Amino acid sequence: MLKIITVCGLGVGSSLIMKMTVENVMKQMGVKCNIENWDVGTVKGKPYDMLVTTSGFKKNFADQDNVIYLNNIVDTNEAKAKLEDYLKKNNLI
Amino acid sequence: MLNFLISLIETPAIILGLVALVGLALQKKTASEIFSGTMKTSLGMIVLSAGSGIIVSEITPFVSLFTEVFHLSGFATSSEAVVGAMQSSVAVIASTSALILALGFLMNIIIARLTPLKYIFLTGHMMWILSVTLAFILYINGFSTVLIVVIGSLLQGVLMTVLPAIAQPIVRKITGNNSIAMGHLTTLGTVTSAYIGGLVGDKSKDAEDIKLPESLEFFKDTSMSVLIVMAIFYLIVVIAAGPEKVAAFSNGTNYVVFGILKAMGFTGGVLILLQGVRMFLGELVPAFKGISDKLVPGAIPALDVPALFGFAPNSLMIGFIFAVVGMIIGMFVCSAVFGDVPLVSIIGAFFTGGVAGIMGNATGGRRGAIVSGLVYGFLLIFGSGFLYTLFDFAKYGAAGVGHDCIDVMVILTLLKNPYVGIAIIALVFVLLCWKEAKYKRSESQA
Repeated sequence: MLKIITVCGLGVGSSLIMKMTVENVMKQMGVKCNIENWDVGTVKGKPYDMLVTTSGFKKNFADQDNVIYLNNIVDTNEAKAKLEDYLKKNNLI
Repeated sequence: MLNFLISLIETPAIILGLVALVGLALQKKTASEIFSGTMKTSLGMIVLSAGSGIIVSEITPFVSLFTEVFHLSGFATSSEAVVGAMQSSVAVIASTSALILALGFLMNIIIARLTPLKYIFLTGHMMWILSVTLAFILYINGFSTVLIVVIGSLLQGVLMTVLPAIAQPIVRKITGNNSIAMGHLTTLGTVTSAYIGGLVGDKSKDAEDIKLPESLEFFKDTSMSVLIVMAIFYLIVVIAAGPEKVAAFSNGTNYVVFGILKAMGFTGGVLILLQGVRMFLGELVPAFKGISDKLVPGAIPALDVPALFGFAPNSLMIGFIFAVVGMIIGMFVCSAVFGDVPLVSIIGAFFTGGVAGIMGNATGGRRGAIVSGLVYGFLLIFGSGFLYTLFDFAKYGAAGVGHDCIDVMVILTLLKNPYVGIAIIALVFVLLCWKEAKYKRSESQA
């Protein structure tokens, strides 16, 4: 199963909203996944296939290519386009 | 049997677990999902109170030493720590606040459904802080348990639509549309600061055109920024106090090492508290959203402040820096005016000082962002110092900590006289409904 982590500064507010958005989109696409929300400070060392965060955190994950940045955390269309693109590129769907 | 039931409903961990259970069942989740969701919500509350216990015990030596050295009462500013500690210490506040959290959300849905204020408040940790704040103020005003829950839930629901509505004109300026709102207990502070920033600012010079050093990104990491700030304050106090005075607390540990260890302990407590908050909200917020999606067509989700960060990253940093400056000025002013010293709230500075900067940039450009951050930081500390003279939080388990959410300060001050406070809140609610209806009419004509 795909392991996804959503990340924001405290790990309690925006990351939870992103978790719901991503959950919604993955359900629409029929992809099984396990999603957790977490904070940027302690996310290092957690295993995951893909990380979803806001565009404000681009510099924190500059050296990784499995990160998706959302501009609007409640916009399922934006999330769907970006997630679909990523999953197709990496042959995950 | 009765005793068993009373003990059950006096425990917020269990009440909130039950709320999650109902929410999950309404969404027709599987039995295993319902079970794990319910248990995780309850466990989260337990983890949370363990975290707030650590925070209070790690800050206590600081408070004692600070008083001894400077003859002023110093305290850390974190609303999460205050309400977490109150919940663990006062059973009535604990049980009534859990019910206010749940019923307040239903009120939010009813108001959003029936009035022009279509906001659904989804920032869970802020709902939690508000629910305990309301339970506390009604409790100390001597209301009965039933009245605390009834009045508290009504106020909770009203405030959760009023606050996003107050911020919305500026949020629309930032986001360029009306699709999201801000759901946070710092709304009154950030909006006031941005308004002042707009008066002195110049909109044509946008803060987003300046280049800022990348090293500031470091402060986005909550654990590091809290640790650094607490270490600085703890070191100042242990060094000023000297080894003899610290020895009374340190049990033989070197006084400087003791200061650093306590700062780390405090930060550890904050991290545990946040983990607890994450666990207990993880099921509640999605359940709330699932219910409101069905019942309130055209709802506007009121989100935590980082939802605005992406729109103006430079203004965020400017707001953060100047909020810290404003807070330090506030510390000196408080020590002179109130004889207490609320410590800089670094989480407050980064998240909500940042939003003050973003709003300030929207109303008054570069200068607006600077002034807005500065005013916001000052108001936060000044308000916290003022509140400390009005209420004795230590009596209710929250020793050595004070609030850092400006809306909480305003709400507590207003409700010190509950009838006046309720009348003012109701008046603001009616005014905003009228204003929002007017905005909608002008939109549909355009």
